[in-house]
Amino acid sequence: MEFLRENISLLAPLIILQVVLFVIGIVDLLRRDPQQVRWGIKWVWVLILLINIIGPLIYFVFGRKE
Amino acid sequence: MTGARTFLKKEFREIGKTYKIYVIPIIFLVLGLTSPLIAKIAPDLVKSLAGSGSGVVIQLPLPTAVDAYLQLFKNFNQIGILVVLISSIGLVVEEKSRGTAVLILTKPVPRWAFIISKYIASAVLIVGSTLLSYFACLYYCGILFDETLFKPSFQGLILLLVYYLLVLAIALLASTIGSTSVVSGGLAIGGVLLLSLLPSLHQWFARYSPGALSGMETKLAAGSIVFSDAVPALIVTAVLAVLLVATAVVVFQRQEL
Repeated sequence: MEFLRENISLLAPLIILQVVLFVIGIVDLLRRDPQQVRWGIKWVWVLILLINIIGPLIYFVFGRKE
Repeated sequence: MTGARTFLKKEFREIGKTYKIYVIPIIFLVLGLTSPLIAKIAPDLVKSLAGSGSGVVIQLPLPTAVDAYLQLFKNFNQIGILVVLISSIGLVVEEKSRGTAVLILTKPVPRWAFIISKYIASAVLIVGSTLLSYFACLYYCGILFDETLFKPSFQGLILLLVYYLLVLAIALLASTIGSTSVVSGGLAIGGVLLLSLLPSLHQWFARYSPGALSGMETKLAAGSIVFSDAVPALIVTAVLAVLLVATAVVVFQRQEL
């Protein structure tokens, strides 16, 4: 853990990318009506978006309805 | 041929307009950056988990760039394959169920071009994202371990990329055969699981089947085998990928939409 605190400059890009990934998903989700989302419940998909790394992918592939 | 090129352009445009162009490269980039960091802090993690007050002295070897690539290839073979599958499972089946496939095919363009252009566009995205991830890992290895092991790790990466092309071919075929996304998804996951199980069934499979490549990637990076050891399995994998894409074309040509 000491190492990570000392090397925050290496960790920062990683954190930024994870945040970007989440934001891309949440922006798409918030713009939708509940009917345009699978199961019609938006908060469930907020939880799924939080799944590490592949959450946003799962949302984009399975969460959206035309 | 001009018709085929139009299809290919359409596929690239589609990737560029959808989530795929952002989400997939970022996921792979995260994998590439995480791996060397995890490898670096792993010994500290073990120590802190073992507890400092127990009086047990744990001697762990210092992590090297090899550990980073071990971690990278592990991630590529688990999360990476999942990403390839999830993102490509709808390729054909979604266009069939939405009815857009019928619309497109009323144009005077051969059906094979529809399938092949989907495969090529997805392959470019996946290979590009994986390369990006690999070079990110390489860069971090240079910083964290003062060595990049470029040659052996890149040879490992070649095996991985060819394996990804096969996984993509499986997803494409499953997407063409299946009548719904669920059926296609099941078929594709079944196919990939079978590939990964084969090497443990028989010695022959452990040397020549596509599933053997995942073990060889890390061994290559660690320097315990040479590239020529992996060539037979590599050829089998590439041939199988071509055969599966060809099968997808034949199936699609005979399908009623």
